Amino acid sequence: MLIAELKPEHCERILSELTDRFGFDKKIFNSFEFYRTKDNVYACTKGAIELAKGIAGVQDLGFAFARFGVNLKITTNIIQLIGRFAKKNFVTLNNREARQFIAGEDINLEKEQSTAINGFVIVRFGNDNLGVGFLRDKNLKNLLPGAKQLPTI
Amino acid sequence: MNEAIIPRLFRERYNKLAPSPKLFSKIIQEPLKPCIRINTNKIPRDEILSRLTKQGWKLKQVPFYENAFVIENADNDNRIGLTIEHFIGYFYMQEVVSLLPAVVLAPQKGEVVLDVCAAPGSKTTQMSQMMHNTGLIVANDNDFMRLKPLKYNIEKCGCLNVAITNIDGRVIKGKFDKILLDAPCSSEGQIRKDWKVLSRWSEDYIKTFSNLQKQFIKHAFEILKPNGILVYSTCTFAPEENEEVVNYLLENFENAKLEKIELKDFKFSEGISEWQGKKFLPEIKKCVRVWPHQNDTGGFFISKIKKC
Repeated sequence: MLIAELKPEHCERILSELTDRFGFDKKIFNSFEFYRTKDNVYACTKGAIELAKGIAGVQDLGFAFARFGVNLKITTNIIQLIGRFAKKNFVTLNNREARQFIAGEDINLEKEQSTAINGFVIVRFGNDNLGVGFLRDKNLKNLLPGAKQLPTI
Repeated sequence: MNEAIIPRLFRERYNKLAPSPKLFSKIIQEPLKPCIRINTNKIPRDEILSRLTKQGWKLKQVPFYENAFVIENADNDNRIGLTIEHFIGYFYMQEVVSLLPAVVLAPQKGEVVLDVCAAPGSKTTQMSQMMHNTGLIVANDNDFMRLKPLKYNIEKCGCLNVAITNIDGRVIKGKFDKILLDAPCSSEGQIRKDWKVLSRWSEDYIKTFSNLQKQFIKHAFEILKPNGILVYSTCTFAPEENEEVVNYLLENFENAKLEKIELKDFKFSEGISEWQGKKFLPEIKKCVRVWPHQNDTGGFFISKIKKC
């Protein structure tokens, strides 16, 4: 694997963008280490990059944290791990909407969301973090990866 | 399962070897109860237990591992696998006997661990949570097609301390504190899950695996750090793939020592001392055989070796 270490200033910018958007306390990332590939920022356990240097043929270390695009998009896997620490820009679904979301459908939200402004949002059902969506007014675009969708849930 | 499809040679073999052969023959025709492992990388044990219990699931604690439970009232349509809790990765479906190797290896915080044949990742993800997502696990699999499910499960379980490699297990480089070699095998112990195992079964098939396993275990032992621990396991009953492989290692490496395995409230048999005229070293008795009828599980073999 070609691990390009993330310069501290880039790492700081990425974490600032995500903490500004979702209200994370930056301390939760203290046990993480970051590196980048062509299109993604990856996260792994602190110290794992150094330990992996002695191992030949590493293809992946940890997993994708965020993807570069017009805006930085945090991944579903990371949100399912740390989403509970987010304080803003989350959308809470009811039971029917949650099942639609898990099935991969876009959702016309029944309620106006006071906890989120347009853009990438964390999608919640109760206290559970289901994934990431893109909110435009009352329309929630589903960004759940195809392999994670469960049509019959 | 129709008993007629059990090969005659298979029946003769295990009538000699299995304790209570009648019970053995009976239970291998019955389906397995599903088991879940709570993924403490994502949720505290008691919180998910409370949620599943409220939903009506009857959970029976696996005696040797506090985070695993057999579902006593499971149905055939896999409803537990379709819950939101499973979707988020709060628990992982894993057979009872498949929990054993990681429990015996007991990886600790900060260690560097190799899982030689890791896909689809059940044991890798279990070890990740046992290590509290610290240190490094190298999850290797030789089969490129099996890396996708391995990666999927690692991500779903939130394992940040795992590196994936795709190398022949006989040539991996590195030095490891602990190594798990859950070797490719003839899978006889999986009969309750997939009776097609028997359609591939033959004594030649067993011998092919036995030769491969000896190469795997030799290399795994070589890349283990001094005082390191190697756990060798299979999901098969064949002595050629079990005691014979461990015996081969002990005969070729003076510094390989078998350690005793203790499993709380779980029945098992010791390793056999002789098979088809071949006598094994006396310490081979320290190996563990799990027969399906002893605890109503799949079949398994496990051994723990220290590099002195």
